[in-house]
Amino acid sequence: MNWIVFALVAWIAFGLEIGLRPLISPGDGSIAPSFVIPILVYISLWAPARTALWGALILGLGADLLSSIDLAPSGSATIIGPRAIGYLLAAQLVIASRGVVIGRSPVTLVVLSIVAAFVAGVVVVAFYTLRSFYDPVVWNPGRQLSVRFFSALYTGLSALGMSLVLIPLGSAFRFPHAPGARFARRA
Amino acid sequence: MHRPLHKSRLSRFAFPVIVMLLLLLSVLPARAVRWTHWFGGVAVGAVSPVAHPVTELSLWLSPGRTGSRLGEGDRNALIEEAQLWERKYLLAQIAVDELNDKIARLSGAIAINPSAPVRPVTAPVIGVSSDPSASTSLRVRAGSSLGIRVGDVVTHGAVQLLGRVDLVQGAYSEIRPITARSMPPVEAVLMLDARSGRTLACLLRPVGDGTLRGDVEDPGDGPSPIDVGVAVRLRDDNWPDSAQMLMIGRVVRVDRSPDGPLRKVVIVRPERDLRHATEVIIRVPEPITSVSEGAP
Repeated sequence: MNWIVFALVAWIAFGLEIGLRPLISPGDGSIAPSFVIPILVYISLWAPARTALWGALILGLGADLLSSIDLAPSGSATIIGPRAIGYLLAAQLVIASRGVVIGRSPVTLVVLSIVAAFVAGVVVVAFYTLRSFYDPVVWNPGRQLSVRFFSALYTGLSALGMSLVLIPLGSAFRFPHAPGARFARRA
Repeated sequence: MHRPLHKSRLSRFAFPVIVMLLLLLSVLPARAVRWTHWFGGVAVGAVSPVAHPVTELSLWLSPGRTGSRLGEGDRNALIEEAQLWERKYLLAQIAVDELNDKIARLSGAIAINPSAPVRPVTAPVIGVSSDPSASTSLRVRAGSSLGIRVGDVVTHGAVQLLGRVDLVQGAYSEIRPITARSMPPVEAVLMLDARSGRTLACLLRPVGDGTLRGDVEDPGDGPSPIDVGVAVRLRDDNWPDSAQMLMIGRVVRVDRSPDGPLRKVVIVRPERDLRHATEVIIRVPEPITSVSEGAP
């Protein structure tokens, strides 16, 4: 995999994830789609397994560094690890299922992005819920689970949009078996 | 081409070691991982070339934006100036009342501690947390390099209270809005009659949907003065003097309280949508110079 292209695409995705939130998040802004999860699913579908897992770790680490959790009564904490582990498990799930899905299809990217986002969200909720027993974090596990469930569904929409960009970029990533055009002849 | 054996072993062990390290960091207490804030700041800085312009565009396109629109700039400026003078008048009234109390009670020469002057620092909003369900803080491009410290009061415009600085890095800060679910309750006053200065105290708790909810006791003398549109201002000793009487919002709904017939529940909404702020004003306290310095 071309790590430079990966880094560039991830950089843009993180920027979009943060920057578009005021426009696309309904209500209090808790529910929002992820633009990084579709990239995670994409590289997990096409890159060699070990490469995909490293990529998932890097994306999860970036998500951890760009997130924080409120502490009571004031302050916030940047916790490294929950999203990295969550993304890792989500990537492993996609890797395990790539033998039974059509990698070139945008529908595959959408469905797997929803599942991956929810899996990663459950892992994050688990870690922070455990933390809430010994740290003064402002945390409601039930609400967080429902927020992440709806955010996962919303991620399906962002994945649909990103599939139009990612699938044609297959050759740029230099995957061993580039996805290319949707109905391109297989090598 | 074969990879050297030692490199194969290194790459084989690096992954599980890193995963174990991440698992450990995930469960360490927050006080043990404060150093991660620095890395978070680097990550924010790295992403801001994309995030900031996209945020600006999103806020400009967002239907709830409170930036100036064509034809409304002058009107908004006049309204804000009027609110500024109103607040100055109310603060002056409070100061006069406090001085009268002190003069009446004290006989010796006791130092009166005036409100500390503040230096306004205008900071653009560069985004929010990547995970807004865990943190509703706003990120602004202004940090410790401008003298900003944790706890500094932040406003949206001249008089609309936005929140307090929660985290400070070199070049950016995080601000927790008063409407954030994680914010502690604030003591406020309902301005029932601006001319007579009649107020009603209440404790407001953030609901989590951009509003605050408080329980108040109806004065009971005549028609209830608690009505939609009543201004609500901060009056909380846990906040600096420079934040007192800043605007929290206006009453948008009044409900009956289940705790009694004379009690009412008010829902207060800030006049400006705090989530769609494009820039904020951080009120950085200036050091107080002693009056006696240089005196013979």
